[in-house]
Amino acid sequence: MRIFPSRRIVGTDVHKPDKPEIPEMGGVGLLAGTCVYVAVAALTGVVSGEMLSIFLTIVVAGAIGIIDDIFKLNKRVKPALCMLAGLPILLIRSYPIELAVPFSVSFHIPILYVLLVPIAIAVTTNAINMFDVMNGVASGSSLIVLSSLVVAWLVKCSFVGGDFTTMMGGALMVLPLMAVLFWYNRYPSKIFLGDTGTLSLGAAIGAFSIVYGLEFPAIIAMMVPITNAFFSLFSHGGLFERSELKERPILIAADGRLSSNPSPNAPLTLTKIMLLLGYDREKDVSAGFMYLTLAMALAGVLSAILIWGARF
Amino acid sequence: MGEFRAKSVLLLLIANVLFLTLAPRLWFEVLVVMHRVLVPIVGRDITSYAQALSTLVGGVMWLYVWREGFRRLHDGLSKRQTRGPGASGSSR
Repeated sequence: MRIFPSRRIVGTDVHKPDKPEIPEMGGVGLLAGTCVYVAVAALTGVVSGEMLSIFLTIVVAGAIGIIDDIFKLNKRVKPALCMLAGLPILLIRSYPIELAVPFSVSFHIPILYVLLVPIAIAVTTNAINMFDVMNGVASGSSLIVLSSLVVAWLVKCSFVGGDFTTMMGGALMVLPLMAVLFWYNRYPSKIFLGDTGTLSLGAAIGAFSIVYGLEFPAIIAMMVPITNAFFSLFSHGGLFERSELKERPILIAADGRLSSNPSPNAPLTLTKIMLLLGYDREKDVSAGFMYLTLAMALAGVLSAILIWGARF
Repeated sequence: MGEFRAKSVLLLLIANVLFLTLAPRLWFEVLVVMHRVLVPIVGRDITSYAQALSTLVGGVMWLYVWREGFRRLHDGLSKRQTRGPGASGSSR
């Protein structure tokens, strides 16, 4: 955290009246932590194919994030590059060929699944990237979503069997690091995730859900970030970078109170809706997003029970 | 954190989740009926195309309804804010 400001790797906290500069690229810590974890696991001989897939996906996405943080990638190049992060999963062949949905329906799609893996990684990485709207929102929601996927895997294991210890190896690689990152990124942020962090977190969720066959619970648990990305893209008419917005969706008063920008040029985002609902402090908006994500994470776990627990 | 104000957003999200949970099963039943009815009339290939096309149309319609739900919520809340907290009744 001391190195980044000295090298001018800082971001402006735009939702504070005094616009403080905060160290950026906190995601580097997540990448370094996962590298150390996998190195230790490799030395003790407990690296599984699943763990390696998740690790490499995070590393590739994190590398794309580092490039984006330093050189600012083109708005179309970044999502395309994020698809590359799905390649380790395909190369190691650690993906299922069936997509299970609730009420005993599953789709046997071996060829289509190969195409869906890079798309799924691009969706999760960019959804978390676009959900980095306020202090702690992206890191907190990622932590909640991944924790719910661990519970969903427990549900799956208890009904259809599976190696829980293998999954815990993958989960322990990122969950504690996510918790630490959230601790420093929560309101008021001491460090920003940067694209390095948001892309790595999104990749971790995407890879985890694919490798352990938890796609449907992941879609449900990720509903809030996905909805936010969906509306931002629709209202802006396509992909965009925050820097090219003519008008920001949020206005900040001198006392730090936030309000929705009524201009038709401001994109429609979930944050704007939250402000229209009466939230006017960054801390409260962040907490509101956490509650919404928590509710969707719970729905994701319930969907896991409907997929593997209930027989129809 | 005070009162949880995002109940309307939560309701829209729950509606979307319910749709995603129920729709695949219901749509599967519709595809089975389509298969049973159409195969003797138009053959297996055209039935498959019809099933794929109707699934695609259904997906696009779902995206439209999803977007409209949130857009209307946003527009309604914007109008309420423009009128002010004390205003009530018709603006005409």
